[in-house]
Amino acid sequence: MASDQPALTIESLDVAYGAIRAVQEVSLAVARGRVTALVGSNGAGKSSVLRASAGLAPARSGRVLVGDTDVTRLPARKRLLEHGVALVPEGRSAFTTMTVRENLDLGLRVGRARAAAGVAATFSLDEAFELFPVLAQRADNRAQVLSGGEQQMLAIARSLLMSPSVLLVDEPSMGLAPLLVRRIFAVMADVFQRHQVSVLLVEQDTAIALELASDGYVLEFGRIVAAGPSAELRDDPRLRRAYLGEGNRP
Amino acid sequence: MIQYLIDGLATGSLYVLLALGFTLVFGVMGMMNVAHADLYMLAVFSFLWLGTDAGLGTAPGFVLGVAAAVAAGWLIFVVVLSRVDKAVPLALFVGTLGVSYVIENLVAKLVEFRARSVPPLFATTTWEVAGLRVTNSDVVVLMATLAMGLGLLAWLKLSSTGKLLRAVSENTQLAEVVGIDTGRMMALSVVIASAIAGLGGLLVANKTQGINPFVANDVSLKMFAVAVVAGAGSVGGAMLVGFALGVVESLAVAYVGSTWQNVIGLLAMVGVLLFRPQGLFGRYNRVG
Amino acid sequence: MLAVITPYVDSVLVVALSYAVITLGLQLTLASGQFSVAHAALAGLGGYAGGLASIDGDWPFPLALAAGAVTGLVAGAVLAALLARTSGILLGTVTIAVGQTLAVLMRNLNTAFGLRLGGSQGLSGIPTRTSLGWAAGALAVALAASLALRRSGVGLSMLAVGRDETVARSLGISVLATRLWGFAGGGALAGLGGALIAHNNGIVEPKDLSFASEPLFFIFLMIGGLATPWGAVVGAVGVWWLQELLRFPWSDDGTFGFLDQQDRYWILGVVLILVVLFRQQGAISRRALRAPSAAAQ
Repeated sequence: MASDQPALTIESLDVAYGAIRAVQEVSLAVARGRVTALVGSNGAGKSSVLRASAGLAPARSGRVLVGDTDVTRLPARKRLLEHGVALVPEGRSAFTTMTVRENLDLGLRVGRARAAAGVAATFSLDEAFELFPVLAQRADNRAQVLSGGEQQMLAIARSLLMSPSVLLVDEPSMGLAPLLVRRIFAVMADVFQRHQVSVLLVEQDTAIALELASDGYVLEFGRIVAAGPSAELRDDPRLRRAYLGEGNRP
Repeated sequence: MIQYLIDGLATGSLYVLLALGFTLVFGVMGMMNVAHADLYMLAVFSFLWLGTDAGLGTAPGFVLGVAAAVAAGWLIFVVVLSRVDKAVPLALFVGTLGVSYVIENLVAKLVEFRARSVPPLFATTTWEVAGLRVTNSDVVVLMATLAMGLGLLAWLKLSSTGKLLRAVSENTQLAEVVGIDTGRMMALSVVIASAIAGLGGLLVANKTQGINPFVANDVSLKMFAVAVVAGAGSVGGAMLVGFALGVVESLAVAYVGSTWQNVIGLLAMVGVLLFRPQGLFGRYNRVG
Repeated sequence: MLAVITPYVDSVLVVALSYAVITLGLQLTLASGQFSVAHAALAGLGGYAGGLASIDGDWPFPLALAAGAVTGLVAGAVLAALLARTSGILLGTVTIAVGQTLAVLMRNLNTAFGLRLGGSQGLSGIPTRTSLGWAAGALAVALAASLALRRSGVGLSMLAVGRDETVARSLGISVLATRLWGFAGGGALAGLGGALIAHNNGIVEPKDLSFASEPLFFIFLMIGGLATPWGAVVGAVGVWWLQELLRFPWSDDGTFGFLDQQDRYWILGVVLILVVLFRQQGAISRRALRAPSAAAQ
């Protein structure tokens, strides 16, 4: 696998739910070891792109490639176990009736399976506890006792333990207070950088997303309307137009 | 009064045994299998046909009886449960009802619509202690029920596969996302449920010493009610509620008369549900 | 055409059409999003009411039928009021309990208000007045009413409530009123059908109200299709005929090759499984009724 080959490539993706065309002819690429943001207003279709990449939403046409392998026809489980496509879902992302440790074990389980197939683990349980001390403190408590932000951290840690080749993160800021969002993004920036994780980040808070990401795509009504390095994208008038008014500027 | 308690626990054992499997599948798959109770009937008849009629012997017959229940349960899973859209509950109800009709009436045809007596697996003795009567077969049933119920509970909580089952039960889509083979877990839940129904059913039939192809009809409603009142997927709850129902019925027969026996339990359960619609121990609403 | 209707066909059709009326009632209740399993009970109550009207009141037949319908309506409305805050499995379970309780109640009541109810033997001696004409007429009325209701504002409300109660409420639809319509209307039709059956069999028994009698109507709807009232009619008549044909009435001894009359139950079971696997929406779905058009639905 060439190291300059994208970790994830989406070609002309069409996602439709019945008669509703959520995503139309979307193409994008996630560079290896870098964070790519997919932004756009509510209902633009961002989550659908992510879910189709994970294998949870049906692709009416188009392709999803991990490295140079076409995974479009594969179910979510296979994409995860065999090709390392790990999703950090929006909202309920932890099993509340299981302990923090048990939740993390689910990630380790996948990591071990992938290690048996020859994929080196780059993230350990100890590192997870170091990175997110609250997980260590609450290791044997039910995930239910964690706050929304802490559950988010749990989900991220769990996904990293899976030795993912590409991480799909769905709206991590959803439902969280701004200060908490900054903290989580700071942690994500740190760990993604250190472990060279390839990430496709879907996020409604454009400002913070483009701070974390090196590249970005803007989605409007299911189509890509702008793309480029985040530094350029931040000042792109099309980005502002894709939202009502100024968007999420401080 | 204690005698009623004992009798109630004995009756309740059957409810618990059936409800355990029913609620496990209900929890993991989100589906109700109306034909579940028929599996125990199938196990007993298989035991009779293979162990007694074909002369294979009691122990092999017993094992084959359980195997028959498991095989039938798995078949139901493959043919019906795994293919029906959960979002259309009527389809599932009618589909599993059809399965029930098929199982009950095919067996009935084979036995010419007659009930059969079940030879005891071991010599029965009755003990009288302090004015209370208890038979050893009652004790066996009770012990087995407790063992299977508590065993299942422990397994779900502590074993790695048990945890996977619980994950699928709580949030099936998230389970897929973390790489759990939800299809295999669902099949496993059906196999376990069927085995418990078969094993337990054989012991109960040993106690009642009789079986007919349509036994399931009387007990199905109660099995369903116990599972719903306990809460979907709540194994421990099913045990408590199942035994409680047995005891309530036993007391009802003594104090109110047998005509109301069947209904009183049902009414009590409706009363519970009106206060806690998710069931007594239903901890979460199923997601996905 | 009338020559085809032999006394045998007549007797089967009468039952089928009466069942169709009851099934229409179930379809109505289900369409309002309420999974009620008490319909057999409502039908049974209608049968008792109609029977009493004929026996003790000596009412003319149409009035006796009306008595059945009104009883069903009132019982349905009471249920709706009781279950105003419940839905889903809870509703189903409660309705099962109600049905069972009513069955036990009737089994124990030998008289009420000075009128003979028959207790566990059931109310016998009901004059057999149901003819094919009456059954067909009642069905026509029931079907017309169901179809009209569907197209009316109430019908649309029902569809909305059946889909998503919260959304319906936000649109200003009174969920309570809609459910009332669904239960009361469904109950009325069930009561009517029950009265028809009672006047056909000459007797109403407590077991007719129990849960054991219930699955039949769900089977009719499943096979006929639950989206529209037509499904109820097709399902009831179709399935009832199917199980009649499986009695192999043309043969002398009720056999067909190696099959005999007893086999019809498991054969029906197989049919159910096949329908559920291949046509989960039943024979008649809303889509099938719509003429194929270019626009997406």
